[in-house]
Amino acid sequence: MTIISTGTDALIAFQRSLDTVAQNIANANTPGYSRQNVTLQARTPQFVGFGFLGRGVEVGSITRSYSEFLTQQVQTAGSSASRFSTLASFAARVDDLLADPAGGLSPALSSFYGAVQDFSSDPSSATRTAVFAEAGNLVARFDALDQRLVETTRETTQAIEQSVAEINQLATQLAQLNQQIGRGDGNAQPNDLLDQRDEVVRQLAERVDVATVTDASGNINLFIGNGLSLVVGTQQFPIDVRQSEFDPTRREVVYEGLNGTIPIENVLTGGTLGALLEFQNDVLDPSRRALGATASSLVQTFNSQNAQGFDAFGDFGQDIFSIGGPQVVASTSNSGTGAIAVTVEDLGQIRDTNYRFIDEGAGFRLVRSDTGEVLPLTGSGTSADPFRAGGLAIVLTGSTDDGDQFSIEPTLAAIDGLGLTARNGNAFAAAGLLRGEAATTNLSDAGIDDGTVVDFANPNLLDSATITFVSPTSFQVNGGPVQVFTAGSPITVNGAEFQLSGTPAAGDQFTVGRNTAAEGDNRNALLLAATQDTEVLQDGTLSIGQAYAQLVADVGSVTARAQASAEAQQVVLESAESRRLEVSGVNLDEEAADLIRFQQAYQAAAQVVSIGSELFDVLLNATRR
Amino acid sequence: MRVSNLGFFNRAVSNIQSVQRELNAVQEQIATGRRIQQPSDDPNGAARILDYQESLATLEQYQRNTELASNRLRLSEDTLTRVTETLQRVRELTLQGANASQTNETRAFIATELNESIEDLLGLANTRDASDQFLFSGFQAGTQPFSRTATGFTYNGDDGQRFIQVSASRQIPDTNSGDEIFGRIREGNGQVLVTRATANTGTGVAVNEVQGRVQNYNFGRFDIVFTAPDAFEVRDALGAVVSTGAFAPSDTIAAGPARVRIDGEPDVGDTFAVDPAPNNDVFSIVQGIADALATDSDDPQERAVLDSALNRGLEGLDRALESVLEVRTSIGSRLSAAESQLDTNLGTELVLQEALAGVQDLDLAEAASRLAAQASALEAAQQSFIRVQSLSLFNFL
Repeated sequence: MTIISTGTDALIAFQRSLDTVAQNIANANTPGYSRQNVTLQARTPQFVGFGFLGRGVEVGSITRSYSEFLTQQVQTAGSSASRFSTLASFAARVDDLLADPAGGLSPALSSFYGAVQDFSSDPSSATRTAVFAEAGNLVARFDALDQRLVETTRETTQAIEQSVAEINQLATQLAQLNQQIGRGDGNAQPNDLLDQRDEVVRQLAERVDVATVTDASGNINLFIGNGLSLVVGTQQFPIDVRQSEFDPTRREVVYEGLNGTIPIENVLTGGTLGALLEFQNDVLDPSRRALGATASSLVQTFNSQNAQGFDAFGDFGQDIFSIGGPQVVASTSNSGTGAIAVTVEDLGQIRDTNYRFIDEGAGFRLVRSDTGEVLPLTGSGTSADPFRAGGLAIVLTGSTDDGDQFSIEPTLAAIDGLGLTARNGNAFAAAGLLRGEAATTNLSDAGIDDGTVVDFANPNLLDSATITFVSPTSFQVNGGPVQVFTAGSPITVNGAEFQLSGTPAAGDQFTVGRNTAAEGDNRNALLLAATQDTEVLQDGTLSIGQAYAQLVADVGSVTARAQASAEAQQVVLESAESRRLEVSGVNLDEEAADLIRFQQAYQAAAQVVSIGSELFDVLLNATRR
Repeated sequence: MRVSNLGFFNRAVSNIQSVQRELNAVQEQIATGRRIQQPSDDPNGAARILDYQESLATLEQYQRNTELASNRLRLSEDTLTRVTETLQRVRELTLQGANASQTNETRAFIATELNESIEDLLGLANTRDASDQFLFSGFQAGTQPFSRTATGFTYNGDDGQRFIQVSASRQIPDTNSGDEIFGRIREGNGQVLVTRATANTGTGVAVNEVQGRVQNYNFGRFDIVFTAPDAFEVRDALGAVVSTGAFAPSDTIAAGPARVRIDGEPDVGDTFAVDPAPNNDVFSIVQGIADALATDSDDPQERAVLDSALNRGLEGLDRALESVLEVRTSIGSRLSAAESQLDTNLGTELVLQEALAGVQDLDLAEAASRLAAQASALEAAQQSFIRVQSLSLFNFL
């Protein structure tokens, strides 16, 4: 009598089916869960002479609805999406910072140069006070901007450290899952652990680009960068962050493999970690360099113009601002004792990049870190004749060994040294250096201008001199040799050129010399105001305002691109995810139908058992008599 | 296609969020009135906005500069108008003093009034501007330009001229040095001065009939020396006789660049010098007139001294008036240049502002309709989500 055992088998099979439906319903919202199916199959029939008699049903297997291709697509798309959304959100911080209508640099620059203009129109003590105050504001604004960028650098470093920790943790999980799955018996695989493992790989891919290979024993081996194994079978290799070789404030990502510790920043792409490194190298550092270059350009042009005039006390103008020089860091792996001192000689030639100064054994070499371009060096490296290339002058002291390297950041940290050297508004040099006067006793109406300095090094520049005309076409300076005067050509005295207007008469005298007590003189103040438009940076093509606008546009473009890509990648990710869910996702209506189906089948099987039992009763009753 | 419940919820939420993001962006645009919230909204536009804003700030600065320059020019003009009026009053008084009907006493009264005028002129020349700086001392704005000394008057400033930036390419001078206006008055006819030697004993008074400048004058000196009451010699700077001639009162004698009419009767040995005109300051010129009028003149010879001094003074006054007028003309033209620059700048400012608005400002109508469209899209997404998610087979179990 097989009816009872067949019915019992069916009860068990439908029980398993109902269990699986329940599992599906329970995990309808579990990320990475794949819908499971019970495959029922008829048992091998029994030969009973006239034919084969069915022997009921059994559970063949429990499988998951799964597509390896679709799952990998979700992983890849997730990596891109998280890369761009991370980049977009970090870049947006710098983006917001730079163009803030109240907090950006532009308003402070405008106010400062406005004050310089006011000062040039009326160099009085009131405008001196105002221009000094505005200079202070400008310095503070530069400082505040740079400080925010430094803070963002710090936050980025923290995010990198966190990302690395998460990757290590996920890699550990993956190794453990490989081990657990490997213990599974025979052909059957623990579906839920497989799902979990796929989910761990997906989360890893969100953090950095990975490549996976499933080996013969069913382990997922995972590689990052250019084929560095992070997980092989059940073994995991950690990545780490450590102090950068060239920058004590900077952390770099390293891989700790079988062959020791190697830096891997250059090979890591994609995911959160890739985006953070990209942000640091393509947005943050260039922004600080550009801001530093802008400040350096302002300080250089303003100070050098200020030095060409007389301040409120009639002395040569001193520096108004101070600025930090290039940052030089020797590699921690240098074996020589040599050190280098670097100065920027031509800001216009400086490019937005780090530079490396390398001892090549046979000679030295200066390399741009971004392009790898080698800049030919001139000079011998002594302080009298420094190495020169790309606007930098490098003085080498001590001796370096072959392979020793130095990192040079011309303007990255310039704003650290930005300050106001002037103590008050009197330091601003409004007046010109020289003055020319025609004697009142002159017979002609010829006039003389106030001179143009052609040789600042002339030691007698400020000395007073008398130009006496012997005839309308010849003159003497301080009674010296008679020189020929040509109308329209300047007269050169003590390193300055003086232009005459009109025709002088014999006996006319002109005195030239130091400009004194000229508190209303605004000649140099006009030139100070004109430094706003002096184009220094990028081979003399960008003024200060233009350089800043360029920075804003550059960061804006990176941010805009990242945002557009983030949106696009989000769409790709969503569509990959929904295609995966089309195969693997749980549909509750479907499960409800299954629930009814298996419930009915279960009830029917129970009836079969009941009928079988009744049949048995009939038999018993029949034989009792 | 199978639809999984998780997929359905994810998609619905993501759609609603994306509409909400856009709605939020439009709302922010409308609230600020700016099309670009972050540079990344339009990097190129953001850079252009910074450019335009810098240009506008500079332009507004030029407007301020121009107004400042105009104010100083106007102050200069007002001051010089009063100088002209004072000088004209001095001229009237001088002519009045030259009248033969005046007595020593009335001339002394006029001299007193002229001395007052000198103080007026000094006050005007030492005018300060709004920031308490002297208007006419060149670069040495803290130094009082003119002061009285034991021997006359002295200019303490220099001939520096302050230029004001009124546009990117244009600077206009906002002052003139006091020396140029008051200090370097070339006496005589502006080139040649005829003087009566103080030792003369006759009653001859010399007048140069040449008005204006002479071409190719070689700046040499000539003397007209009377060898007899009716005969003269003209000698050059080295004492060589250039020409001789007979003389009758009110005859005109040619001496170098000058044609000198001599009224009255010179004595033998009387000399009249024809010199290149020296520079003198306007205060000394008026002082000369006042001093001459304050001196008693009773006999014809003293009268000749007075008339000579008054002639020289009147010539000097004319030159001073010319000098002031010349500067006033130049100031006037600078003022009108400043005015036209203000207009030009204003025009440029309008153009720039329009350009800035074009890049920066939001098209409100377009944004409002975008807001409405997105709001209704959000509502539709929410409603359809509620409708669809409520359809479940479990409701019927």
